[in-house]
Amino acid sequence: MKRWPGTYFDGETARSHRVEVEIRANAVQIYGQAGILANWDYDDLRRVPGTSRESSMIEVAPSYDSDERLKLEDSDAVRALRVAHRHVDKRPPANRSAIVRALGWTGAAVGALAFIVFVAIPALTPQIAAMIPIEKQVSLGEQVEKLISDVGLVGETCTTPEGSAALDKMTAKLTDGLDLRIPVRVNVVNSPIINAVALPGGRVLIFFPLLEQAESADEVAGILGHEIGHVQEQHPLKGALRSSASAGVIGLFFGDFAGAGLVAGLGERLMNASYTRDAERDADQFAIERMAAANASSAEMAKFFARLRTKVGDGGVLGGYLASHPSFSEREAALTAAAIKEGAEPILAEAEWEALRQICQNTDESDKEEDASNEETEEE
Amino acid sequence: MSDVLLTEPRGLGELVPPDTYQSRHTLDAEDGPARLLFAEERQRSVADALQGIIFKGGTLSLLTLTIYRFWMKTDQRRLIWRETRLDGDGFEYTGTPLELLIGSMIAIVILAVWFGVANLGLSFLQLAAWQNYDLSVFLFPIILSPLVAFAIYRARRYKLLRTKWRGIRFGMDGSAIKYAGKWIVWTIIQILSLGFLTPHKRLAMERQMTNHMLYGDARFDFQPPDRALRHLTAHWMLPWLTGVVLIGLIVLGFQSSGGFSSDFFGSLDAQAERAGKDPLALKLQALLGVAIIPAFLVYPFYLRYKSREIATILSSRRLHSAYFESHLTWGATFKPFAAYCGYWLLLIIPVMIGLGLVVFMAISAALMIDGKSISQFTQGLQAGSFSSVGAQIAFYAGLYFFYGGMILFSLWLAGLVHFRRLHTYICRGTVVHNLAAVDQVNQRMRDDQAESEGFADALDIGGL
Repeated sequence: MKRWPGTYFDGETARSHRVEVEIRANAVQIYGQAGILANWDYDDLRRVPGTSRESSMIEVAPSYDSDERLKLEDSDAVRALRVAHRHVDKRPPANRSAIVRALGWTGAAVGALAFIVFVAIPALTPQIAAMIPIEKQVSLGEQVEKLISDVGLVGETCTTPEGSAALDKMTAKLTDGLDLRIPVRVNVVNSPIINAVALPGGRVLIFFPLLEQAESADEVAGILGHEIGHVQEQHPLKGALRSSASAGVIGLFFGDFAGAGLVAGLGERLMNASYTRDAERDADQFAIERMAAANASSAEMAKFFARLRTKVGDGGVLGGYLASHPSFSEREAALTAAAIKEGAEPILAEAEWEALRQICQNTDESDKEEDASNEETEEE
Repeated sequence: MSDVLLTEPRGLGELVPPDTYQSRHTLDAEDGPARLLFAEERQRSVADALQGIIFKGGTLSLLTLTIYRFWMKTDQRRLIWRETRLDGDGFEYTGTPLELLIGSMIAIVILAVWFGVANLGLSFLQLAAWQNYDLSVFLFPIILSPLVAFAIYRARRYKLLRTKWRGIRFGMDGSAIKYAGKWIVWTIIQILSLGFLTPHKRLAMERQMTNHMLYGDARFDFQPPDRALRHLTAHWMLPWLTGVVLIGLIVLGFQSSGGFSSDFFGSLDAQAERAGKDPLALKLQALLGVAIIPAFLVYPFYLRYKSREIATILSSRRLHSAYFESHLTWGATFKPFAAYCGYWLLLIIPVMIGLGLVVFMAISAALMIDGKSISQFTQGLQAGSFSSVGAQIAFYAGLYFFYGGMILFSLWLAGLVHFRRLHTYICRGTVVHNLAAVDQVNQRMRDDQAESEGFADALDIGGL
C-alpha cells in the first residue's frame, strides 16, 4: 500500500515527527522510524476545526479532544484521504452545556443592564437631580435652548405688553397656590413647528404655531400646565441625567464592535421611550389637576390633541413602542374623563386670548406664513 | 494575534550580547533560524478570506444587535492563527464563539453596577460642576484605565490558553489584578517623568506578562537583549522630545500671548456666554484642540519607536534556550498606517456618495409614504419629521444602512488594510533561534476552564 509523507505531532511533546502514512479503507496508519506510531480509525478522525480546508493540505486529529495531530501536505494524499473518509470535515457536535450557559449568562447580563437602566438609575436620578443647584440647571437649560435654536427650531422670543400680560396671567393662574421648586419662566418663541417644551431650569417655551393652531386659551393653558408639570417634576433634568448615565451602561452590551455607539444610542432611545411616556402621563395628570385648581376644563386640551391626531395620525402599535409620548387618543380619553364637569370658566378673557395670539405680531411676519404649511408636530 | 507570542512589537538590532550571541546560534539547524511567516506564499487568497469574514461577519453583526461579533472574531482568529507559521507549522486557535459570548456576558453582569454608578456620578459632576460634556468624555476613560489593564491581561491569557502549536497548548498564569496594580504604579511614574520613562514602563509590563506565559509545561522567560532599554530610550527620544518641544512652544506661545486672557482665548469668553458654557472648560477644550497638531506631527516618529519596541519585546522572549530575534524597520509600523490613511483618503468620498444616495432614497421613500415634499422635510432633519410609522421605518432604515456601511468600511480598513500588513511585516522581521530546544517541551496538564476575555470585549479593547 502506498505510503504518503506526513508530519505527526504526538500531543505530548512539541517534537515534530516525519512520518509515513497509509490511507486505508477505514483508518490511517502512521509509521515512524521504529514502526507503527498510531492507527486512527475514521469513526472519530476529523479535520481539526478551524484549520485550512484547502486541497493542498489537511490537518487531522484522532478525535475532537485529542492533542495529537497529523499534517498531510501532499494534494494527492489529501485527495486520497477525502475519498476514503468522506466525513472528515464533519464539525464537532454542538456543545449543549455551553449553549445553555451562554443563554443563561446572556439573560443575566440583559437582566443586570435592565436593572441598572430601569430600576437603579431611575431610583437615583431624583436624589441627584435634587443636589444640582438651580443656577446650574438654568445654565443647562440655556445650553439646550442654544442647541435647538442652532438647528432652527427656535427663533426670536415674542413679546407685546398685552400678550405677555396675558401669558403671565395664565401662568399665575396655573401655578397659584403651588409650591414651585424652581421659578417657572414662560415665553412664546417663533418656530417652524407646533410644539411646546420644558427645559431644565424652569424655562418653558411655547412655539408660536401652537398658539395659531389652538382655538381657545384653555387649550393652550392645558398644554402650559403640562409643561409646568415637567418643570415641577424636573423631568428634563432627570431625563438628561438618565440618558447620559444609561447610554454608557447600554454600550457595554455591544462591546468592542466598531460603531457600537450608534446601536447603543438607538437602544438607549428605545429604553428611554417608556420612561418618557410615563413622564408625559404624569405631566398630563399634573395639567388636569392645575386646570381643575384654576377652575378650568382640561377637556379643551383634548380637543387640541384630537385636531392634531386627525392631522398626523396616532402612531399605530409599533409607533407606540418607539414614541416618546403616549398616543393622542389615550391622552384625550384621560384628559376628557378627568375634566371638571361644571362651573368651568375660561382661563383668559376673550380680549386677553386675542392679545396672546398676537404676541408675535411685532416680530417676523414671514414665520407665520410658513407655519401654515408646516404641520410637523411632536407635542411635548 | 499580536499578543499571543508573535507580534507585539519591540527592537533589538545589533544589541544581542556577544557572549550569548555565540551560544544562541550554535543550535540552529543548518538552514538557519526558524522563520515566522504570515501567509507569505498565499497573500491573495488569505486577504480574500479575511475580507470575506469581515464583510459577512460585519453585516451579520449589524443585523444581530452585534451579537454575531463573537463568531466573526473567532473566524478571523482561526484564519490568522493558522496562516501564521513557525518553522512551517501553523498555529491553531481553539477558542469558540460561545466562550467569547459567555465571557462577555459575565463581564457585563460584573461591570453593569460599576458602570451605572460611575456614569451617574459623572453625569452629576458634569451637570453640577463643569457644565461640559466633553470633560467627562475624557474623565471616564481615566477612571476606567486600571480595569483596562486588568482586561488586557485576561484577554492575553484567554488567547494563549486557546492557542496550540504542534499540538501543544500555550497558557498563562499569574494575576491580572497584580498586573493592573503594577500598571497603576508605572503609569504614575510615567506621568511624573513627563513620559520619558515610557519604554521602561512598556518593558516592565511586558516582563510581567511574559514571565507568566507558558508553552506546554515550559515557562517563557523575559530576557531583553543587553542595552535594550538604552536602545529603546534612544528611539523614544525623537518622538518624546518633539512632543515636549511642540507642547512647550504651545505653552510658551500661550503664555506670551497673554494666556487665557489673550485675544484668541479671550474671545472664547463671549462664545462661552452665548453657549451658556463654563468659559474655563471651553478654553481647556480649545487648548486640547491645539495640542492635536503636535500629536499628529509626532505620530510617524512614534511609529518608528513603536517598531523598535515591538522588536525588542519579541526579542526578549525565551523558552528554554530558544529565543526570538526580531528586527523591524520603521516601515513595519509606518507602511500599514500609511496604507490606512491612503485607502481612507482614496475611498471615503466614493463611499460617502454611495451611502448618501441610499439615505437620499430612504428619505425620498419616507416622504412619499407621508405624501410630503422635500422642502417640508428640510425644516428639521429628524425622525419626528415623519408622521406615519412606515415613513419613520424607512427613515431609520436609511440611516442605519448609512452607519452600517461606514462601520463595514472602518472594519475593512482596520482588519484588511492595517492589521494584515502590520502582522505580515512583524512576522517577516522575526525568527526563532534554537527552535530545536522546544522539542523537549511536554504537554501541560489540563488547565482549569479559562474565563474568556469578556472584560476586554465589554471594555472595547478586544482586538485580535
